[in-house]
Amino acid sequence: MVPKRVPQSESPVASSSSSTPTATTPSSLAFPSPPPRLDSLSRPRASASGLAPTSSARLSRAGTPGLASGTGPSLGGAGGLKFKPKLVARRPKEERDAAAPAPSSAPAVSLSTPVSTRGRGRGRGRGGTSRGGGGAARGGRIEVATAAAGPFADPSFGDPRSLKGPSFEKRPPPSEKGREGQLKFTTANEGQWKGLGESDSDDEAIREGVERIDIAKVANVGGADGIDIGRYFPIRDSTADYFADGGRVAEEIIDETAVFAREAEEFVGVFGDDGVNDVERKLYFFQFAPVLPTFESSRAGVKLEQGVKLEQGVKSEPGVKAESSSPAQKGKINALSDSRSSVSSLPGQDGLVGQLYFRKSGRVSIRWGGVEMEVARGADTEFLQDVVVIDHADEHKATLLGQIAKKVVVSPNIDILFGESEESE
Amino acid sequence: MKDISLASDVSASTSASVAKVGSNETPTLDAYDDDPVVKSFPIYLSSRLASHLHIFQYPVRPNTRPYTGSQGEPVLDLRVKPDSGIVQVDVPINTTHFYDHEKGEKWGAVDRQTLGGVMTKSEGYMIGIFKDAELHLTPVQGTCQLRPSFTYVDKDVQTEKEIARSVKQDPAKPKEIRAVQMTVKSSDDSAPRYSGALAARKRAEDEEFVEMHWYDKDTEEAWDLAEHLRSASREPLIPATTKDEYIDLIRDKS
Repeated sequence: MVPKRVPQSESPVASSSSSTPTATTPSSLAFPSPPPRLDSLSRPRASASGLAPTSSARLSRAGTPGLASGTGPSLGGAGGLKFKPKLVARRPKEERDAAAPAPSSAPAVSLSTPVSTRGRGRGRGRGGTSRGGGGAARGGRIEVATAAAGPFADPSFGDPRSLKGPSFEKRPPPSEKGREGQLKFTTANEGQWKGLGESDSDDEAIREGVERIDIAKVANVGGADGIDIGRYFPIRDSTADYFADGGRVAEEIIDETAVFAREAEEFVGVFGDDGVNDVERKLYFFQFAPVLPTFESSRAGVKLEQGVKLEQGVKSEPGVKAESSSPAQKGKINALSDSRSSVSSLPGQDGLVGQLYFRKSGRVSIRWGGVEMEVARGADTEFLQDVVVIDHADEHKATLLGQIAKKVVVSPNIDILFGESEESE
Repeated sequence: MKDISLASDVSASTSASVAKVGSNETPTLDAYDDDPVVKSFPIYLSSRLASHLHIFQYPVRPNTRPYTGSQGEPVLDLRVKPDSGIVQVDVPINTTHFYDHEKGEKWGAVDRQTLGGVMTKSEGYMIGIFKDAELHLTPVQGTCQLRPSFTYVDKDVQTEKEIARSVKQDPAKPKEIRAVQMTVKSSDDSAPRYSGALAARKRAEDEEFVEMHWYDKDTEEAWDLAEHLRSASREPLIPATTKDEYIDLIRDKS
């Protein structure tokens, strides 16, 4: 899932760049004019000279889609292309100071949270520290706390929405296996994107009108200390007071709930809903834990407990919840403890071993021999996987049954497993 | 059957259930009251094909192009070494497109390539099918990954080596050398023997291939066998472990 790039409207970068001319390419070449925010990067070169804007290299680094290979003008030019690094004029000290919020003297201890800068939302795996907009590079550094976000983020991390104080709230750890892989994307300030994951140092010279923020030094987050995070920190929060000062930047927070819902839908779709035919022709690969609750391999002990209700097959009626029969089973097990000598993990005989449940939220679980298991979708593969029956009995036969359609991973629900056993102790 | 409507507020139900687990309540299905079951399937275990079910993975082949007759590229031959677990699959090569005839001739042009792999025993894997709103699971015996094996190149290299050797050889010498070697080999048990991987390799090399009769998908055979994926019985099996015992089992295993 790649976060959408939402065109920004009010970033400081954009506003500052509006002062520079937009046309950077000679009229002879039909290139799309670069998006406004990159205008500041290129100085208008006289088309007459036929020289490419010296920032063409920079432009390309900035990763303007489609112009990545360098704008056309670099081809032309009398006397070849000369690369002159663009010297960015520093904003006068007053401006910088004015723009820079007062640095707090409090130690920035609490904010040395492991920041996964990779998770800035691009998901590209690179990317410098989070930057705010506005403010010249040196001097006016403000620290900003960032939250890990993105595919490698620690899921228990506070979500950026909770970035009020120096500490993060912990989100309740997702208990369902199926949701652990949830990706939470928060895309950084559009204005901060210089292209595909450039590192910090590259941009220093490039940025004009962009405030540099030194994360390590930010003492406190939040409006109360005079630092308006909204201005410097690109993560948008739904709470309005965050952005009291404007400087709102556009970005997108992918709603985790929606993501899960969608995935759950797909997952459920794996098993099919009413499309019985379709489902029935598919082979599903289930990965269970190597150790599973055992079953009696012989049925000798059945007659002992007549009145005990075993798990019966439940017809697939919507809204029907299978009865929890674990207390019953426990009773039975005690009575049959003598006959447990012939227990095997997977009985040699066939029979009903459990139930597969689909819940309203899309969560899927299995009850296997009285133990709750979580069901998650396994990673799909693009390579061929065949199911083959090999038989050496009479003749040596190998029969191809078909391909594996989807993979499903089943693991014991630890919460329930340990929750209940604590109870009994 | 009604559609499964997905609650938009998943996180709420999650936190609710988590909270309940954390508390002193017994976390049974009731903990998820706000997340009711909308559909359920009984799960049956089937053992009829259990020791025969294998997964053949072809990491180099896209799943959009299976090796089946319907795709025009059926498996031509299957050879296995039952003890060593070596598997070889012959598949056809399309010699019309993208085929280097020159090289083909160099290596004794054949219209087939061999994919090879080793079968490993697997645990916990099962193949499931849905039938009449029931899930039937059959345990998988083993899996193997089949990759192109360049036996034709190996043969070629070997042949070249032999030719080179015979050209170089001095007729007088070999006899002597061979004699010495034979003496050494016929000594007692303290003679150096292969060990570990080498021994396994030697065993594998010495073992003969067993030719298998391949039945393609959508053949009668395949359909009949697929039926066997279904459990033979609908009788409920009696669980033999309590939750605590299961926890112990897991602990012991690890």
